[in-house]
Amino acid sequence: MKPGDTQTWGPVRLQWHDGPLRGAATITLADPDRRNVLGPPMFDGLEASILQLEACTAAARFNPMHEPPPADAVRVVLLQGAGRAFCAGFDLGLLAQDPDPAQPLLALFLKRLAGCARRLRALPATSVACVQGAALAGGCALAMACDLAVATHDAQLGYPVHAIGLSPAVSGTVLDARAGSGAMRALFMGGETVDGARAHTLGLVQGLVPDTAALTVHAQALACTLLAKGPRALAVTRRWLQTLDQAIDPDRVAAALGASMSTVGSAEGASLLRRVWTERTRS
Amino acid sequence: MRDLIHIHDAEGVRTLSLNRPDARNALSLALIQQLEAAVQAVAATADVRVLVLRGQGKSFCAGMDLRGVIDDPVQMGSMLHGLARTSLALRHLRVPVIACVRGAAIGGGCGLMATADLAVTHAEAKLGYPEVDLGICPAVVAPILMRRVGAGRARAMLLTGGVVDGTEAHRIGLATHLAAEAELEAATQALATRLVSGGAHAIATTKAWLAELETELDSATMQRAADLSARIIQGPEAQERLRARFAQPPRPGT
Repeated sequence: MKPGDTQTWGPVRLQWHDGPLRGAATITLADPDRRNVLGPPMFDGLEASILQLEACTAAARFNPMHEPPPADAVRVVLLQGAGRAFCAGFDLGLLAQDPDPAQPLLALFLKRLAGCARRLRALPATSVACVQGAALAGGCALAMACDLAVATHDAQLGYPVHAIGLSPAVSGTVLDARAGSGAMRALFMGGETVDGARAHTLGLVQGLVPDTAALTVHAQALACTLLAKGPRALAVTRRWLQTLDQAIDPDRVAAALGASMSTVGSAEGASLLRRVWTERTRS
Repeated sequence: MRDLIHIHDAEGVRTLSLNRPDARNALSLALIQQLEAAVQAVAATADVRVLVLRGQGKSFCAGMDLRGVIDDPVQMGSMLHGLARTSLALRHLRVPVIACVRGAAIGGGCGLMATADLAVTHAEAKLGYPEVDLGICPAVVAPILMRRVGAGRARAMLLTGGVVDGTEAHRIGLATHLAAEAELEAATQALATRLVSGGAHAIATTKAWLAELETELDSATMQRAADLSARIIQGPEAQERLRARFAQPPRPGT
């Protein structure tokens, strides 16, 4: 890929910008009728676009602590959802149909989510999530994996996953690094979902805008601001913050995923999941 | 030696004033050395109960004084290491530290503000870390700011650069108290008086315990931060951006 190109993998579109946004790329989750839920096609597309970004950011070829990013590298990544929602989380319809009580599909989804979140953070590019409507459970985890997030007032963020017998621990390392353990407890234990303004107060998002039109404008302005920084200084600062906050420390990431995985495959979980899905499709 | 730190004692409150008003109290090597010595002196003085940090003139502190030292990596390294040691020393004092921030606290100056236990400012103040704009990595302040405002907000401030006003700084917790500009000194004094009336032993124990909980704020981390920052300043990106900035005439009134 080169600046100006767009590539599509199923429901995911990756655009490498040219012009004033040269140096930035946008990942769009584009399955708006299903609120961009995370199922196999969405994970395939996300993983493919992150893999492409790992090449565009020259992730394997330079060490930000020792040298500046190559001049043509992608330095800013925007992550957005098409339509009224950012991402409504895992595809519960598919999970509810999983006939195996060990719920291998849910286990796979969790692993893929953890992988995408970790790889987004590990890119040597500053990432910005643009959140309108629902950013729930896995969707919230993706938004929180970005360095920065901007949300509309009508955004809805949170981890209402105890209802399906699942622990949201997988998102814990980035959430702790982002908003502290107080906000994390409110979201994880209370299971509450918060709107854009509350998310801004808690520190989950750093920008608050009235609507989707303003979201794009704000996010692109933020991208321009980031692109104007010293590329090396920005890359080093970001890496230093990661060293300090330990959000992608392999041991902590593995422990968080392990905690979520330990709640998969119980009879309780499978039946809760089916009940929630039946209620949702009935209403 | 010129008195770059003015020291004043009154009723248990020691006030250290950064005293380079003509340079908006920018942190030169000499100023940092005097500040470090003054902070260490507080640790050795029994009758000081509260430390107030302020700046003479219209600004608290314009940040590191890089003009004139960008060709001198040794001096630059000494400045960064000196500031890192001073920050740790402030953090480990047994008395509470209040920053009284008027006008502007930029870069290393905003680092001092974040290091203080309490920070009083006014709505119009300009506060922040524009380091990445200049190709510099604000590594020394990062661990302190993360502890103060949370890692997410620190990430937003340090990666996007620029400055915020006093109201926003108060909202995110960088400033703990907001006062009208005309009442800044009075509000700081009132806060200091209240702290003097608290149990000295209880305050010292509480502060020591808070420092112990901040496990990542150790001297090894701070040294690494200063090394990292010094290395990036010497790179071509920072050198080019700094020279371009210094080629511009100083902006009046900022």
